[in-house]
Amino acid sequence: MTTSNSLGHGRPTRRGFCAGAAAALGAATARFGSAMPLAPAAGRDTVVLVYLRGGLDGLSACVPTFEEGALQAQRPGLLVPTGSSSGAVDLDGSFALHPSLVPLEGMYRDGELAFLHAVGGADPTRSHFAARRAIDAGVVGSAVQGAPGGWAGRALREIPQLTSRGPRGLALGSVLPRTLSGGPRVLPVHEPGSFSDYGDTSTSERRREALRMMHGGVSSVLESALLPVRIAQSGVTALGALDALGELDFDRPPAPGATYPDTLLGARLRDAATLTLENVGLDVIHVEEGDWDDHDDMGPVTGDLASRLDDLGRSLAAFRQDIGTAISRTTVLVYSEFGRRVDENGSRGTDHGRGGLAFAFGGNVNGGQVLGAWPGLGPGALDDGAVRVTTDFRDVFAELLQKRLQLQSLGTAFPGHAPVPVGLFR
Amino acid sequence: MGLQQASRSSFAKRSVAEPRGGSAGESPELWNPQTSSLDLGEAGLRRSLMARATFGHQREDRMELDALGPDAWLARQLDPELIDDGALDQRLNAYPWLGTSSSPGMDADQLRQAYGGGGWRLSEESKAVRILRAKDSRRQLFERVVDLWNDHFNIPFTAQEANYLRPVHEERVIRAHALGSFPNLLMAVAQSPAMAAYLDQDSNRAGQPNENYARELLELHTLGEGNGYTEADVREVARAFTGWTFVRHWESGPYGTFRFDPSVHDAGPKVVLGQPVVGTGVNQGIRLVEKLARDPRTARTVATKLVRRFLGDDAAAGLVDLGGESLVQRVTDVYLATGGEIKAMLAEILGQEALRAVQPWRRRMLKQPFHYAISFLRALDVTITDPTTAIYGFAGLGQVPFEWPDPDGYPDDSEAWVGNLAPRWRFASAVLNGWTSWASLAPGQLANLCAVAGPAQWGRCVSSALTGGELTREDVTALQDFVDGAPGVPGPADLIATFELGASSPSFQTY
Repeated sequence: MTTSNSLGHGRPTRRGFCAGAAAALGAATARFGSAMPLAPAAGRDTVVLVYLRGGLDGLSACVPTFEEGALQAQRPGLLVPTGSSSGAVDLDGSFALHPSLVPLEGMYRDGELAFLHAVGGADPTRSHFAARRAIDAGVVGSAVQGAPGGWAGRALREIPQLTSRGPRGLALGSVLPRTLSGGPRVLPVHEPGSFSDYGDTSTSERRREALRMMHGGVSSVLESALLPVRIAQSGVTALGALDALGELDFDRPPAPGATYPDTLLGARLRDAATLTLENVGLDVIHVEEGDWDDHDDMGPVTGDLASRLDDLGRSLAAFRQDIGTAISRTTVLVYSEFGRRVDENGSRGTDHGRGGLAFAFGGNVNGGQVLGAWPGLGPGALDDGAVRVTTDFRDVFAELLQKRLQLQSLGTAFPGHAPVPVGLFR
Repeated sequence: MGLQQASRSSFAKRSVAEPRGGSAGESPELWNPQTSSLDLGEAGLRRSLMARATFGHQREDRMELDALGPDAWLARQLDPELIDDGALDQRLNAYPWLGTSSSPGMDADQLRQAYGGGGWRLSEESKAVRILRAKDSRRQLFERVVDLWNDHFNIPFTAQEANYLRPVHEERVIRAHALGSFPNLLMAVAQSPAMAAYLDQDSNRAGQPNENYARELLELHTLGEGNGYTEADVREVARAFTGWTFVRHWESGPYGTFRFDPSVHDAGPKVVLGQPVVGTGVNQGIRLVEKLARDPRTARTVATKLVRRFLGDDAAAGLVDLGGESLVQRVTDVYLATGGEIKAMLAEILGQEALRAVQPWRRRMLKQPFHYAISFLRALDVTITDPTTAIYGFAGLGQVPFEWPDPDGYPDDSEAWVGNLAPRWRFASAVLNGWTSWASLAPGQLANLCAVAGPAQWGRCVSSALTGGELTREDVTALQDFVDGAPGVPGPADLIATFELGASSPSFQTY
């Protein structure tokens, strides 16, 4: 193509572009405020949601060793060995971590990490999509259609912003999860390191101004489902994110001892650590990882599930090491749409269940314990072959928002629901 | 004006005239010399049909529509074999495994022998072919329908053995039935080894059923989520399909073909949706697929999906009336009356009556990223010089064919995509600046498009080139303000940037 050659403009490097843009955008930058790290707001964390798509088998990840008889009877080929030579980590005499999750042991011993068993949606569906939609929406049943956006998005509208620019909710990926939908300045970012790197430098300032003009005139907090309004809001959010993310160094070396696995999840959590450390006013970071739908070849200690747990454990441990003292203002919640059936299917896997496992770590987590009312695995205790749900996800999310993002009123985030304490966050 | 008479210069001249646009979502009246003498309804109808039935404005396609009129053009699009696609076919000769009009292409066994150990190449080439077909095929409606069924029956290349099974699925199941009957498509999918491998049918055995396929059959493929079936139904359906598998490479018989294994079939009685499952052996599954395909709930689910994809959420929600009944009901009725003929449903959905009722120019839809990219590349006649590398460009946008990991397909929901605008801006910028290694604009293409217009008209010129003049007045004003604000005489960098901004403008994100 001749046009670019004749112009004589090379493709800018990201750093070069940012430096140029920062100079060129001096006025605009001043107007929008700088992205200097903020002083920590009292009691306000960066919340990192790690959603495991497909249905994590909580009975493999955090094994109820006292139920060995019931597990042996119902899933003889999938029972995770937890004996002394197995490599599993005995947590409290009743529960043991899968050998692949050993990297999480330190956080548990340090009192930063807690597990929650038998958690699930209030909607009894065993459809991935319906279950996830209800959990992300923060409502149940037919109200899912009527409630715009997701629980975190709606909550962010009620939580005071820390800065007037830059994203408040960021999903590492290409699609905005419903969880964040409906929130102010929320967006998906697939590759944060190159997000702000584009365009010809000779026109960049004027192009940004034109983009502002085209997407202007609509308040970014206006609630509207109208497509032109949504596009304008999204454009304003994207422009703020171009400025905010362009100033961050996503290539920074991780802290000593923080070794992220060379996987997508590892890369995502490394980016999440950068965003957390930079403390630019981001309230919620959403990370998603798929493939937890273990209908076949589930393990127990080698195979797909084991390698995914290994990736998960090492990625989270690296994140913890990487953020260092920022753990005091960071809360990570890991969850999945449902647990799996207790019994093994014909493919050495398990089908969709109900109650599952969630876990959380951070400086303000009531760590070092396994929480949740254990419903039992006996024939009479099961919900159609699956672990019964004894904790509603909405209660977990509500406590997270109340304690760690200082949300005052929960009515908008969880309409029609009166949350009860879970004891996971303080 | 005949198709052959249109020259580039006559096109450039058109861009000088005044576009009359409202804001998106209202009534952006299209300026177009060929339809300006017609009433807005007729003009709106034509551009709506163009927008909804294709991957976006393209000069030749638009002129063909103007020449034929909407009814004849739609009929032609619904009969794609009659549309010459020679230029694309020529291009696709680079993929010897792909079928042609005279050959069905390689089967899974042949693919495995030819590409054994390098199956990933088939995954890459399949994605590249998908991009080429969407952009360059003159059978645009067919290609859009293929996208819809690929989402409805989603199978990613990350699925088991997909490298060898999925290309065959694409050619012989999805494309073969895309405009045929839905029941036949459903049956072909049910027996497709690619689906069996993806949703674990190959290990669904008597006594230990695997419900993966059964659940998605009810939830995604037929009745629709929560639509009158129970968990017990899911497990009974799974039992009925025990033994439905395919020939694995270590088994005798042609690899990758459907096989029923009676030795693992659960022969016991089953009850689904309150009725005993009829037939024995493989016939149980076949009867069940037939029964589900006839179910009015399936008809409504499929009709709703088609209406949503082509006419948007309002119409899918039943908010658009045709003579006293909702459009969804009308299309459902067509399904039930024709036994699920896809062509007949599309003729209803894209016919004049439905378009006039929906008024798509008042109910704009958000382009998904793939659609956005294709519409941009089509409008500017960008040549994809390296289709395999183009995949990375689409990955930056967040939507590569056959990469959605879950069985529900890419979300047909604007809220899922509307937040992701910046990658679109970058995509257009990279292509226009010549910074990709996979795309090429003809030398001087942009300058030629706007040569007659001159910088004082570049805003309108860009609107005309990208959309046939459909960018909103506000967006065109912003583009022109950008040009007028150049520090000196606007130069080539400003022209590129104006096109970049046009492709980044709010109204180019919709159709």
